[in-house]
Amino acid sequence: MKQTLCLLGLIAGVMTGCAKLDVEVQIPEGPSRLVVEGLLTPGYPAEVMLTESNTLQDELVLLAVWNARVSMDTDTGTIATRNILYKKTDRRIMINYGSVDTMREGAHSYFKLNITTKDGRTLRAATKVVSPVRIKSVELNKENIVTHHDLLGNEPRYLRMYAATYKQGKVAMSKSMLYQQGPGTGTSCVMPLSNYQSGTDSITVTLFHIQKEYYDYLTSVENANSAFSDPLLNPEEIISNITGGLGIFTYYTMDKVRAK
Amino acid sequence: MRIIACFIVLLLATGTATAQVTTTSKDTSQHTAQPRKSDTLVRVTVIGVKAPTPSANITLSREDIVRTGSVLGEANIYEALQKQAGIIHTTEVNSGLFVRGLNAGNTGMLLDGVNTFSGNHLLGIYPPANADAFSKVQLLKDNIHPKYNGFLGSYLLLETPDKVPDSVRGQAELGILTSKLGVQAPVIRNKLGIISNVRRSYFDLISNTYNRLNKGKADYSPLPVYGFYDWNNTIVLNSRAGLFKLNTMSSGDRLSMDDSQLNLDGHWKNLTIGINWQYQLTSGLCLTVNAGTSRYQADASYKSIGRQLQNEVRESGAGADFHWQLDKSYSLDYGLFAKSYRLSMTSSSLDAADSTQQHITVDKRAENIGAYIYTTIAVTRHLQVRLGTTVSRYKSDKPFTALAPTFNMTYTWYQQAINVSINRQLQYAHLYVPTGIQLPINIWYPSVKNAPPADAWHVTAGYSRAFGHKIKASMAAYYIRQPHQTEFLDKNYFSSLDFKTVQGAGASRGVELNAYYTSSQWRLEAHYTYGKTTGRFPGINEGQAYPLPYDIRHKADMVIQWQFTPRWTFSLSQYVQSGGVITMPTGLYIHQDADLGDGGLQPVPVYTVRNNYRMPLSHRMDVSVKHAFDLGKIRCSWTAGIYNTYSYQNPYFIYFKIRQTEDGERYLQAKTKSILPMVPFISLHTEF
Repeated sequence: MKQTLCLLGLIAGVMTGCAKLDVEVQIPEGPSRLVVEGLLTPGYPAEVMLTESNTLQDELVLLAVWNARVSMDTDTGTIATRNILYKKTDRRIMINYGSVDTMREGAHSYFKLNITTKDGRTLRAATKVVSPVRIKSVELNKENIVTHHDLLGNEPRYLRMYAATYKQGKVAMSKSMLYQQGPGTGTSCVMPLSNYQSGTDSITVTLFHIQKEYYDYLTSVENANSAFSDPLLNPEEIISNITGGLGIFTYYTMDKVRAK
Repeated sequence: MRIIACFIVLLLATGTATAQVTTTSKDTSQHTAQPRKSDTLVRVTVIGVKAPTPSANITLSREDIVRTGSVLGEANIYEALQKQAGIIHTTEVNSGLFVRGLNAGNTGMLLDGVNTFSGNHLLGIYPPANADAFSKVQLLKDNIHPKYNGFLGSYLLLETPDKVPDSVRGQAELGILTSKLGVQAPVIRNKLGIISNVRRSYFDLISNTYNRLNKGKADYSPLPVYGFYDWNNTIVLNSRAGLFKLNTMSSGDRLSMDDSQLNLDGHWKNLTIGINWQYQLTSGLCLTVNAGTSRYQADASYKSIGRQLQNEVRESGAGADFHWQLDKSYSLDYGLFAKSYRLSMTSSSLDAADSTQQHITVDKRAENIGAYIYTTIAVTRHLQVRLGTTVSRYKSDKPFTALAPTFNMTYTWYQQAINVSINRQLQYAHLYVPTGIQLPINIWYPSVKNAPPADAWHVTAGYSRAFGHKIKASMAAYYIRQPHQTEFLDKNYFSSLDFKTVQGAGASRGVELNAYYTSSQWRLEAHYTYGKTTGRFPGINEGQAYPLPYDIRHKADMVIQWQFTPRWTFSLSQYVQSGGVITMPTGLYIHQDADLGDGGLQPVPVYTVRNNYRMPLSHRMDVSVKHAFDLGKIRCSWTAGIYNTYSYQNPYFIYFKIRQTEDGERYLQAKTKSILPMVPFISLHTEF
């Protein structure tokens, strides 16, 4: 009897003495970093968004960096930029440093980005031009969209395809995919897409010829985002070509067609 | 009394163990290692009959596993081992054996000498092996015999019974998540017998029923569907040609989850078939032959990224081990082994229309042959030395040849013993787990040019002592240097199968303390481990040393068992350990997708430092009561208890959600996901 009482007392002590605890998670906070997304495309000015990254405790807003010196050296001179924050509605991006003149196809062979912020931090990056890409034809199949392009050659090439369907002028469905192609892999990009044609007013397809650096950057952004929202995946560092910061400085060409 | 005295004298004479005898004469009392003829033995008290082994290797019988390693009422090999020093609790559940700061893939699991690919069942709640199928389980973590090779850290030896069953016997167990049935029967008396054990979970049956009944209802969130089975068979043949055993171990798991954090449909299977032949060639020479094949298959459809990953590894091998006992103080072991290995992987799109692209395959093969020699010399009655080496040749896309020497010295006196060992271990298959949590979607990547063989030098020292016959204590210190390690660079292999690696080095060091108290009613165990594991790889964390995910600094376990009547036993176990290390973002930036119709601002996490965050402390207490009784000739017992008694939410993983304030500001919030809160359980066990 004495032993039984002792046992019951021990169990009661355990049950009442231990309160349920919630695990508090303190998010590690790192220093903010300068982020550059500089895009060079024929037909548009040289456009750069220079921001600072948010710490995890900050509100999620775009932290634009003002009054930096941003220029690009090319084989034909230097391109200066102006610090004006504006929204490019045609490209769907925010810009805070842009050149006055538009880029011309074949006018340059390389670009070197130089940024010095007001507080003396410097960023460097470089990119080479890629050849223009043209969409030869688009097949709208039941379960996919196939885009045929005119890029040939033995060098590996990197492409991005974006397809959007519209209903009453608004995007109803969109998808983008990255492609790595080389000799023998053909000149077409296949995008699986189901039930995308029903009820759509129009379909546009955009094909980008991009640099390997941009391909890696976009892949790492996608992977990092996936890992962020899904614990099943491993975290991935952003693959950047910016020395002293984070982001991408790249040149690409594109072609856009209305397929329907 | 005479028998005890004879036993003590015998122990002293053999020199393999020591005894302490208290002799009492008229007015003096003295302690001596050997009774002298001139003394008059008035009273003989056995204080301790044998020094506890100074080795940190762990041997558990099935009864030990039942007693110390029950989870939710079921005997659990991993749980029993993880309560010992040097083996960490990986998460709140037991997803693998992480021994002395090394990865779970550095522990080989051998079924009577044949490698079987480890994993786990039910997100780690159940280990891959059914404890009922084995007569003995050993974990070798130092002074490893060279006949065990191919793994960097340790070996889990699953040993099936050597005896032919003498009668038809069975056992059955009914638990809250699984049921087990085991049968053993002689086919030819004393010659041939069969032992079969099967285990099946039924959580999938419950969740399928729940999902079917609630489908279409508002606020319905489907339960994950998760089920597994395993089936072990052993055929024992005792003939003039020696003892033959044919073992099979097969298992299958299925997981289907569909919620905001996980969206996965996965199947995985294990199959191991092995033959074990033990033959006494002469009175001093014994031959053991092990041969077998093992296959692991995983098929995971990962819906949120639209990919399906199929992964299959096969290993076939054979080995012959000779043990030659030349005399009482000298023995020689030597042997040969050969293995072949194949990894096949396919990653394809879940979209049937995407058959033209994004279908990637990997096929890698390798062979490994080797030989070893190992000698044991009893230099004196107290000192024993073992030394040997393995020579191994491995071939995949590049050949590798290596020597793995081993040295061990054990000194035993009175109730104490010291052990020192140095050995090298080689591993030719790298385990990569391409998931952030411990799902057994294991990729065993063979050593190739960009992932050369891993090796480790183990230096260990141990000391053990018995205090009387009730208390034993031991301590061990280890340093494991890993000069050649391969790290798989972050990549989500579901979509690429592009295995990018980097070579570096690592080290693990630690101290293990164990204490045991045993009496007729009480059994108390306490274990503590301090460990530190670091790696250094070019390009990761600027080439600086950083903690690896299984770097657990402190771990303490306590087990209390109180048999307060012959039929009633109360058990309590508690562990506390430091959190594991994971990679967390240190910031966010806003990415803009230019020239896309829907563009928009996309927050992107910035991962700058690998393994920069230590998870919160994890701890858990389990209590249970067991009552044994008889129903006629059937021996029965029921066990009732509470898993995670105080319902501590041990973090399984951390995820982020965007939180919006009333005035529209958006912030990130980190949340921990736990698997098992407090779970009352009851299980019924019968033996007939």
